[in-house]
Amino acid sequence: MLSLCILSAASLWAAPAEDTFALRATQVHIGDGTVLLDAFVVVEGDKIKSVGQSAPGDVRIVDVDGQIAPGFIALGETTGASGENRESARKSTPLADLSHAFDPHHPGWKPLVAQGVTTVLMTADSSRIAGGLATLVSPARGEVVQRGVALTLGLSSRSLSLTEEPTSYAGLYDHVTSAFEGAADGSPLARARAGELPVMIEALTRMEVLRAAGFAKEMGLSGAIVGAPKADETLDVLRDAGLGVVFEPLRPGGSDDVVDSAMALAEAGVPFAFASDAASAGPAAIRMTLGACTRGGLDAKTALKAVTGSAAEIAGVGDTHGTIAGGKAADLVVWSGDPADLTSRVRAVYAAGELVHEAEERGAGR
Amino acid sequence: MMLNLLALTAAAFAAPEGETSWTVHADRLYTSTGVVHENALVVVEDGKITAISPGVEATRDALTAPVITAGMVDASARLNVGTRSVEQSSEVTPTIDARYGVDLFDPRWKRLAASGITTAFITPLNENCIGGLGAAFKTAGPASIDGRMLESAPMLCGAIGSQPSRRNSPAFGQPRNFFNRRPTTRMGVEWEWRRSFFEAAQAEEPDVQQKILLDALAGTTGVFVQAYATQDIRTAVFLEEEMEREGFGQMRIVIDAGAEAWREPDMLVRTDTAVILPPLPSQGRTTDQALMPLDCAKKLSDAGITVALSAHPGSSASPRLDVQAGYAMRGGLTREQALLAVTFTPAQILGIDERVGSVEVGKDADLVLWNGEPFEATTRPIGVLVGGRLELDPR
Repeated sequence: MLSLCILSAASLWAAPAEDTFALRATQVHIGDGTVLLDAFVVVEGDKIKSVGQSAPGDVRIVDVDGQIAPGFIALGETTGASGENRESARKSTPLADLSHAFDPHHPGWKPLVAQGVTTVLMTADSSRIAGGLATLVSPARGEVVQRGVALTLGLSSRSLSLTEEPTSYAGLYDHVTSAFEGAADGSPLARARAGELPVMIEALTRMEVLRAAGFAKEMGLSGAIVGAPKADETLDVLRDAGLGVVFEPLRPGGSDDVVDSAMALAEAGVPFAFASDAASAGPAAIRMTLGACTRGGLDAKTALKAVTGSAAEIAGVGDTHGTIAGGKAADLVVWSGDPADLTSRVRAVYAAGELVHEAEERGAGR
Repeated sequence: MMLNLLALTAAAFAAPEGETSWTVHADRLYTSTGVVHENALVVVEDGKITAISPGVEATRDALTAPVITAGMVDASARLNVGTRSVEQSSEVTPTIDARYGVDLFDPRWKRLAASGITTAFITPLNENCIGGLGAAFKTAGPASIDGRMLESAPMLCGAIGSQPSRRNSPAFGQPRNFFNRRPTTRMGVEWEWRRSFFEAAQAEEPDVQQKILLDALAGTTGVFVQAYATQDIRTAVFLEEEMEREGFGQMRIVIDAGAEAWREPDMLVRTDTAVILPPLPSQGRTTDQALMPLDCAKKLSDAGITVALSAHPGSSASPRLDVQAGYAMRGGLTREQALLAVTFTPAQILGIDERVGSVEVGKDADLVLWNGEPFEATTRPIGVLVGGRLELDPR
């Protein structure tokens, strides 16, 4: 317990650990659906140097008791940002910067890290038509990792209200179409049209998905639909528009609808991830989602990929996050077993190469 | 003939489940073109009618029914997504497009199709003076707007009467900071209509909204006005005549839900205005307390007015369109007249009669198979084809 306090306190001001070390595990989940057996993950500073069957002779080797996986990426997280991610002065605020809604010391972060989350994408509230620029943060280190990684668009009924324009879907699309068509060069909307900035579009019915995907295609947007119920029925338009899907978090006892959709998407090669929404679903939302996925029949590796590699790709940070590969952020979690197995426990969490969480040994025989 | 039939049979056998090619046989085929065939075989290929052969027996593989008619067209189906189909931030919103006001996954589409309605015209919810552009959709088919919408001349839709003026507030919900300026009286509604057209006609640089109004003044865009009561039908007709007098153009108005059109048919004859009747009210009066008698369609028809029936939900005894046609027959229309009023006439009013509304070679394979003479109390659709897709299976 004492060590935990020191760790979290240290993380507030300490620079990343500068030494080089290697973690050795019987299984290393890369995060792209593959697993390496008896492998080393070499960490240099805040980055992964290499992953493979060997490590340089001169580095310190840490034998971990368990399996290594990339840290989970929590999409659409609002912890500590209640109300602060919703700028209601205007219907569209594409320049609103979500890094200013980030509370680095919020008590909600620590439980999230303890569940294996190393990276969080903070997004604007979806009741805004263009809510702002999503920010990637490290909850363990209390740091903004990257600002302006994606643009949040709300093209669902949540963007329609009785108190301001628009009140209708047609009005919503009038609004968003003219906003995109009139966007100044270099503005977020123009960059999204140029394919430089991914979008995360909320759409909460099949019809909303149909429209949003059509709009994204027309405007040349890339990114993902957030929500997308029964996405297997809108698969063709999603694939046609080149969009991924971010599902709501699942509960193990919930319906298998979303899992069926996810399986159809996996088969069709449409990338998908899951939101975490810890504020309402609890800090273990991503773990529970993995459990629900595997219970529903989704392959455990595919499920893990959804919350690591695919989540990073969808958030537009696939180059630096999401998988265990040389050059990427050293965000690693040591699990007592398979990360998609709900009986597994988090043993240790590394964020940017730094040990930020270590579980206390519990009970006899553990 | 024999060769033809063989070819048909082959086509039907080749068609797997979910396909759009069939042969269909009826003891009696009402074509909605003034012709009735006995023992007719209709060939459907790739969703279109490719041959009609009267006086032949059914092929072994054909779908059969005692009677077949064209799929019904409901010119006022009102199957929009409700409050979210109308833009309340203004009372005149010509650019609001009904294609954004529908949900193709709404289960009501299936019910419409199974009831024999194969084409439905949808408007934004009638809570604005000028609500926006309507659109005609097939009631079944691919889950895409383009795949379901019928190309037609645009139709600008709105309402005259108490509905757009009921409340000085948003039409639904409690206002908090909404900028309210809705009319509160029929006088205000009439003013909004006239003001909009006058301003459009006199604008030096018309904006995108006014351009649509100018198209309506030019007659290239129709104007679809919900007007139940006589005073509201008058307002619509007088508006058209005033615009013509002013030299602004010749509008092409269609009266939707014209329950009291029978009271003063002369002005409709004078302006050659078509009327779509609402479903017969269960208590004699419709919305806006308009009196609609059973022989409403008969009176309009006798006066030479183009009349179509509709079955949008409301206070009607039955929202089914075939039942409405039955009521119209009870009021004096012949079966042929009633059939036209739910097939070809609404298609013609909407400008989609090139594709739908009658059983003719080259048209969409929208067919209703009935278990007896249509519109009788004991008759119901036993099979429905929409664009060749079997939405209700008679087998």
